[in-house]
Amino acid sequence: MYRILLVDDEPNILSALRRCLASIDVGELDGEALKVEAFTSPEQALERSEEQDFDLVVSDYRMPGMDGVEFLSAMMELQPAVPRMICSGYADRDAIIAAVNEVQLARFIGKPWVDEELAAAVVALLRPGGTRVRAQKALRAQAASARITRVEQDDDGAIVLRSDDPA
Amino acid sequence: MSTAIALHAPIEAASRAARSAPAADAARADAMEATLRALVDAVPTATLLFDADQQVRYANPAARVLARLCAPDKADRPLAVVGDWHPELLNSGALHLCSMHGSWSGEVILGVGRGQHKILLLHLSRVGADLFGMTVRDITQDSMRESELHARNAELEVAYAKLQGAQEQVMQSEKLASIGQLAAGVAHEINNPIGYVNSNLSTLQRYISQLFSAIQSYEAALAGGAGATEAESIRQKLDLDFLVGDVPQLLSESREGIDRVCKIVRDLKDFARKERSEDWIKADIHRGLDSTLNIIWNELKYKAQIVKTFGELPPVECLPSELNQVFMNVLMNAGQAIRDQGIITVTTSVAGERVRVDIGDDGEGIPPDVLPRVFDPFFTTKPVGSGTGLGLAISYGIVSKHHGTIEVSSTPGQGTLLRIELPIAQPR
Repeated sequence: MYRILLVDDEPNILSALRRCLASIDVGELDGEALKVEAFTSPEQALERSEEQDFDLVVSDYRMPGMDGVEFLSAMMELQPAVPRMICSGYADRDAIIAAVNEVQLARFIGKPWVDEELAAAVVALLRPGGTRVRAQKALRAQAASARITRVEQDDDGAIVLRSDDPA
Repeated sequence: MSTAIALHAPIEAASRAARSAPAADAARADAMEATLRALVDAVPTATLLFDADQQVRYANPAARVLARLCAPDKADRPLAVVGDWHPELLNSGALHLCSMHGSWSGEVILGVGRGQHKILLLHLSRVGADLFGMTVRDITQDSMRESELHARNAELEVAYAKLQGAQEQVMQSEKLASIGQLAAGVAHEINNPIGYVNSNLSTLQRYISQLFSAIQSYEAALAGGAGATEAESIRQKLDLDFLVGDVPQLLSESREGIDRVCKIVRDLKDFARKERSEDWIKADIHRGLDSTLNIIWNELKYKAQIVKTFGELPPVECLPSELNQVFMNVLMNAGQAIRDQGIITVTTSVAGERVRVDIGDDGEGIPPDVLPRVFDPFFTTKPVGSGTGLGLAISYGIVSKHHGTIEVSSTPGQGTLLRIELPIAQPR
């Protein structure tokens, strides 16, 4: 089972993300089920993360109290290996660059998002190279920062991080 | 002889008196005549006396000097006749008019060689039966100065028009800057609902194809004479229970999202209502405050709680979108004064013939040395590039245009209060 943590101050976003993730065929995840936990408060999400490991975190950027980068850096302390995604309608370039640099973001997805792309990104991050993510966790923890060698902006403005050596 | 100096009636009278006086008086009259001649000689205005044939009887030194200046060769003129001065100095029409009316005044422009010219002001008066007195004043400098003044004035008018244009541009750019500031917040606020509505539509599409395949399966099962167990297995296989539960929720959430977008767009329209600058209307100040608060809520909600205390206000004669700009500037400043978390208060009340809008924050406050300058144009404490320094200056201008007042009081560390007072009706 893969566990995904969703954080957005907007409950309707969480519902939509859940529906989108529910569309992922378990076949794409080697038959593993997806378990989604969603929080409108980053603080509560962090509390939950103290007792539960996750395989992927998807967070909004602009939230009251704590922004996405603050939340994800706290998350990094708790679970350094978990891949981090931001899904936000806040298109400030500086904020995105800060996110990439400070929390070594795996993906930035803009709102409104395309369901297929979001689902594909989630699948790719959960199963990099087709092997189970857990097996690579320890490895990735050490290499995470070193492996990001290129930061690109794709056609719809999403910032894509690439490593030159295919994982 | 006496006629030679008889330039004015009193002098004539004096000479008449001289004629009828005894010998002792005649001596006195001669002395008088010498005095008068000395006087006219000393007068700095060119003065001529001539007869109907334009034979010059007398010319004072100033006349000789001026006549010399009017000659192309700048040489002394004999001045035997008026035409010696300059052939065009005096035309017969002027002389004729003077004979008829007793006097004549006018300007002549004389070419004086080398492309130069002189402008002279002539005054002719009839003296006695067949004599004319003429004074000539060189007004070339005056009229040059005058045309220079005209030119300068025209330049100033152009500069003034340019300044007005520049002021409008600066105000426009300030408006654009505040709009730019808003844009990020508004984009976020619109992208959120659009994000989930868009995603929900994709989901709905998936649900519907599931429903269609359910219908097909049921039809096939019915055609094959299937019973309740088969129907139940189709139901479970396609997770219809989940669909039935989720579709209404999906729709109501999407509806909510669309409503939110509509509301934001409506508020934006309300806020930036295009109105002619002189379209004064009686408007609800609370509505302006609310739509402005809605617009900038995206900026404020992460750090401030808004406490509204609205009194009973009559409609106020105003330019609503300009007032909204004032409210926005002041509210944005209040938000920016709050470092982490704070409270912004918006209080309205009636004070006599005016309405009062108090906007307060419990933020950093304004130091006393800065306080007197907050309404100065281009004064800003924000980092370069993040503020034009015109927000409050323009707000001040808008409130003054409404014959209102805007005042600021602040205690560093405790907060700031902006008080805006507007007359309910504009003075006629």
